[in-house]
Amino acid sequence: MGKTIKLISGDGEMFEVEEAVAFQSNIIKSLADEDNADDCIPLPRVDSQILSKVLEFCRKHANSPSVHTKFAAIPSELCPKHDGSAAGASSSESSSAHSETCRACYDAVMKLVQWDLEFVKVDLDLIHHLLKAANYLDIEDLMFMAVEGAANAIRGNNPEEIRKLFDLENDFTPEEEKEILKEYSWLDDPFEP
Amino acid sequence: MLSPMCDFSIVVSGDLLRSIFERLPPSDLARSACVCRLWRDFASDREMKEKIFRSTWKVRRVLGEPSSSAFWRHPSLDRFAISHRLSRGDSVAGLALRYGVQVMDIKRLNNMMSEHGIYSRERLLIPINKLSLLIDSTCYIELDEHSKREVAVLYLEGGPDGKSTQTMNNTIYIKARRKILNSVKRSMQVDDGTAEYYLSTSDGDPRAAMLQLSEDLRWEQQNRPHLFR
Repeated sequence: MGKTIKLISGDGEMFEVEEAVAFQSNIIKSLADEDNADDCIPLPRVDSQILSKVLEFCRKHANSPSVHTKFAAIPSELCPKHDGSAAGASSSESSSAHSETCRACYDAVMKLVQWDLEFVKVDLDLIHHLLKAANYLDIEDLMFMAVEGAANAIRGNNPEEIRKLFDLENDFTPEEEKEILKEYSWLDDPFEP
Repeated sequence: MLSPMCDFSIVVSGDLLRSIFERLPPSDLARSACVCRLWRDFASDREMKEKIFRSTWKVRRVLGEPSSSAFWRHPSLDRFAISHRLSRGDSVAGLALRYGVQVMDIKRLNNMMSEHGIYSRERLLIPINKLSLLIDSTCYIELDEHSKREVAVLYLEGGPDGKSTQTMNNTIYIKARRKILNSVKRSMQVDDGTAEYYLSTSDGDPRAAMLQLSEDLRWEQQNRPHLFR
C-alpha cells in the first residue's frame, strides 16, 4: 500500500484506505492537505455502513480515467495497457494521441460506467444516504450516480407512488391539480406508469 | 441498521432536484410535475419544457422564446419546419418535389392563397417529412411573418445568418470517433448507426451516451414490449 489515510465513521469505526481512494472526496483531500500531525480524519455525519459503500465506489474509481473525461483527454498514465510506464514522459500532445488510438482506454471507461449503473441499483433509502454522503464529502462521480439512482426510483411510477417513495405530500389545491393535469393532458393517463 | 428515511430533505435542494429531473424522459418528467408544488415548479420550468419538446424528435437545441409557454405543450411534428430561402426559378411545385412534401401542405404552412404568393417572399417554410433532419439539429423559434405562426425552424445550410453549425471535420477527429464508436458498440451491443447517434448527441461523453441509451431502451421496453419478446 502507498500512503494511506485513516477515516473514522460517525459510529466510531476506523477505515484505512489508500490516498488515491480517499482523495476521490474533495473534502477529505483538503482536510488531509492541512498541516495535521494526526492523519485520522473524523467523519461524524457518515456511519460505517454508508462509508463502506462509499469507499467501495471510490476504490473502483481511484486510478481510473474519470468518466467525465472525454476520450481525447485521458492521460496515458491511466491507461490499463500502458500501466503507468509513460508517466512523466508524455507531453499533452502525445497524451491525446495516445488516447485517440487506445482501445484499452475506451473499454476501461465503458466498463466503469456499466459498473456504476449496477452500483446504484439499490433501494431508495440507500440512494438517499449516498446522496447525502456524496454531497457532504464532495465526491463528484458518486453524486452523479446517486442522482441516477434517484431518477431510477422515479421512472415508471405514477405521482402517488412517487409520493410514497419519497415521502412527499400532495400539497396542490384542487384547482392547481386540475391545472397541472390539463397541462399534461398529452399523457394518456398521468396516473398510469 | 440504516436510519429510517423520514425526510428526503436533501432532495428539496433545487440544484439536486433539477439534476434528477434532467435524467427523466418526458413522460416521467410530466408525472413528476404532478407530485407536489415544489416538483411541479422544477419539472415545468422553461428548460424542462424545452427538453420535453425536443426530446421526441432528438433535436439538440431549441433557441429563442415562444410568446407563450403553450408552445411547448404539443411537441408535434408540425411545430417544426425547414426554412427555404427562395431563389430565382423556385416554384412551389418544384419545392414540393425537392423536399418530398405536398404542394397543399406548403401552401397551408405559409398561408398562401395562390402559388404566386411566392414572389413577394424571401423564404418559405417547408413541412418536415424526413425525421432524420431533426436529429441533433438546432432549431430557432420564430414567428413567421406571413403565416403568423410560431414555429421551430430548421435551417439546412446553417443558422439564420447562414453560418454553418457543423463542427470541423479533420482526419484526427474522424479517427478518434471511429475508435470511440467501436468501443460503445462493444459495450452496449448495438450497431454502428446507433452508437454513432448516441455519441454525437452526447458530444463524445461516454457516460452521457450510456445513460441516454439506457433511458431509451427502457422507454422502448415500456412502450413497445412486443419488440422485446
